[in-house]
Amino acid sequence: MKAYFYACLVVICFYGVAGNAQVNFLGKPGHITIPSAEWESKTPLGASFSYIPREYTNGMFFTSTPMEQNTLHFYNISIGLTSFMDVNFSIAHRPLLSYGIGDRQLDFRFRLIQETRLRPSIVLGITPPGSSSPVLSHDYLVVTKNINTSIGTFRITGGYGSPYVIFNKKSNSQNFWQELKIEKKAVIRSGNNYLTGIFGGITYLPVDFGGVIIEYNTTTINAGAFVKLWDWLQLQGYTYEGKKAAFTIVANFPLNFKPNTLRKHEKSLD
Amino acid sequence: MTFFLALGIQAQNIEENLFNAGYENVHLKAGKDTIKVFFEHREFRNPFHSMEYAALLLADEDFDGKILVYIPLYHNTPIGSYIGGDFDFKTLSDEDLTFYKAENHPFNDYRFHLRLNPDIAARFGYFEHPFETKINLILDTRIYLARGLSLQTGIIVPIENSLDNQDKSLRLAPTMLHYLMQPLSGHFIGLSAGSFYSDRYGLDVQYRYAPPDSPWSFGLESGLTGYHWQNAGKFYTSDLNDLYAIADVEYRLTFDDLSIRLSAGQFLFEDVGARADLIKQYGVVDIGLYASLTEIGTTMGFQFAFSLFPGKILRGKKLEIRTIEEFRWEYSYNNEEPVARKYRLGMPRLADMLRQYNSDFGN
Repeated sequence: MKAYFYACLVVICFYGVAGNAQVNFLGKPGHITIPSAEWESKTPLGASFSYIPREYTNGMFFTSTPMEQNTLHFYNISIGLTSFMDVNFSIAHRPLLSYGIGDRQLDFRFRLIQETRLRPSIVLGITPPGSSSPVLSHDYLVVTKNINTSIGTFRITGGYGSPYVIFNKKSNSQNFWQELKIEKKAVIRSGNNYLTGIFGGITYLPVDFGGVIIEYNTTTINAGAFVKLWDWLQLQGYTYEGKKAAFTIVANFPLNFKPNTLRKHEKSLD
Repeated sequence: MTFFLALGIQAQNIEENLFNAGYENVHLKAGKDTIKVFFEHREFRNPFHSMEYAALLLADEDFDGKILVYIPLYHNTPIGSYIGGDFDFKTLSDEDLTFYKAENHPFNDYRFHLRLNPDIAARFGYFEHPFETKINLILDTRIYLARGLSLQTGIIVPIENSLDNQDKSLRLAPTMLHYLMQPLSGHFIGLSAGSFYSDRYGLDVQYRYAPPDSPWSFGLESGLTGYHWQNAGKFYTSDLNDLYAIADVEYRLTFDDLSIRLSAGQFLFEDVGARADLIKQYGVVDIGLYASLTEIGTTMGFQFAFSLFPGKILRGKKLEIRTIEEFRWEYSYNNEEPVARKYRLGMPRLADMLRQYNSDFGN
């Protein structure tokens, strides 16, 4: 049975078409850990996996567990639901803890302005408020512009992340709306400042299948590189402050494909 | 005269060609300016793909300048007519229905379908067992008994279970009698009686007003069910005492194949509240996002519906083996409390089925 599903996955993969997605560790368009305002429309389904070294998880997402156990894996799905709205779902799993699957994060991206030759693209990212443990919550406005030059493309991103979060004081409360409270992230997640304030990054793409990246995510400066292995598969490797290595792997799929039989028939007519 | 004779032979050939390609209950009706093609095609989920495929199969036929009109059937019931080319929708005429009544042979005009349908339940989040799953393979079929009346039944082959204490013996798959009708154009009624998914059994009634050329549709869904469980070769049932009744309105946006649906009423487990859905149709795949607010609680989640690969596995004159045309999976953000829950029938609900027939989807 499992073999059947993997077989399906492999087959689906072969129908992948070229996407331009460069994603961050949460599987949404971004540089390394910061989001960008890039928009993926050809391949609206993305699945990704990220590895985050234990030394850097606490700086980004508040955890009360010992650092040695904080190695973090992200499993992400992103879906382009409309031409102006993406949905992202992430599961954070800490394999060294017997803590279950970990935190789940659902968030949305809204495209406010589409990029043109002169204009940048602008995206608003929102995590629905109301979680009782908003360790992964982030709300931001981000601007990205691709500049084509004779030596390649420069993808430049700048944004601002809200230092506040709306959370629920009690988990599983009967009175959901009455328990909502606005608070500074720094207060409820003592000292971790990921995506609170001004962040930015630059990717330089000398070729269309890869590039090098540097970014600032309001806690660390990170650098890395990504390469498109196949049209549907990308690998990104990077370091946190040049000290610890990490990676993200992402697969992108189209969703407007036709049924197998119809596709085969069309092929036979060509 | 010669034309009609020729058409008779041609019609037979076409019906046979379409039947061989997986279409069932195929009938051609020649009119003054049109040739109407009645068919049921269970391999594809999206009827516009079925019509597109039929148009390609019939591309080399000479119809003497007549226009092809497709009349797709769903569960042995004609839904509407779609004019070849752009597949513009037209209401079925009384003449079409009379013709269909005379030509329709519920049992003989269909193959016996054996359908492979994986049934997966998963729960994340427990500290000790972060990922609990229950995987079954359901082998089932739908047999047409009379006009619009069908029986769905099959067996469940358990594969893995770390979710609950049900044993791994073979079980009876959800088994129900189903009746689908369109008494007035655009008005659909679906009645089901038997055992359903989510361990429910009982009666289910659906009504929907969904003209395929309108962005609006309205529906009522209701059911009286009880709990039903099979273990170690034995059946357990509770009383038929859980009533659900939900009214909904759906609007199809003019862009991106998006629909918005608002439902309210008493859900399963006597949970009163409302649910809002945003549904995107990609073609073979639908992806939906929803939020619910009821007495039990508040939640968000998403759902996927798609045809499983590869579709057809084996097809003969009398038998077809294939994967399920619509696999549906729903993920709720809070995984314990059953907020705004419904049970799955074992076939798409009217709202999900009729959304596929909206002429705006095909264009």
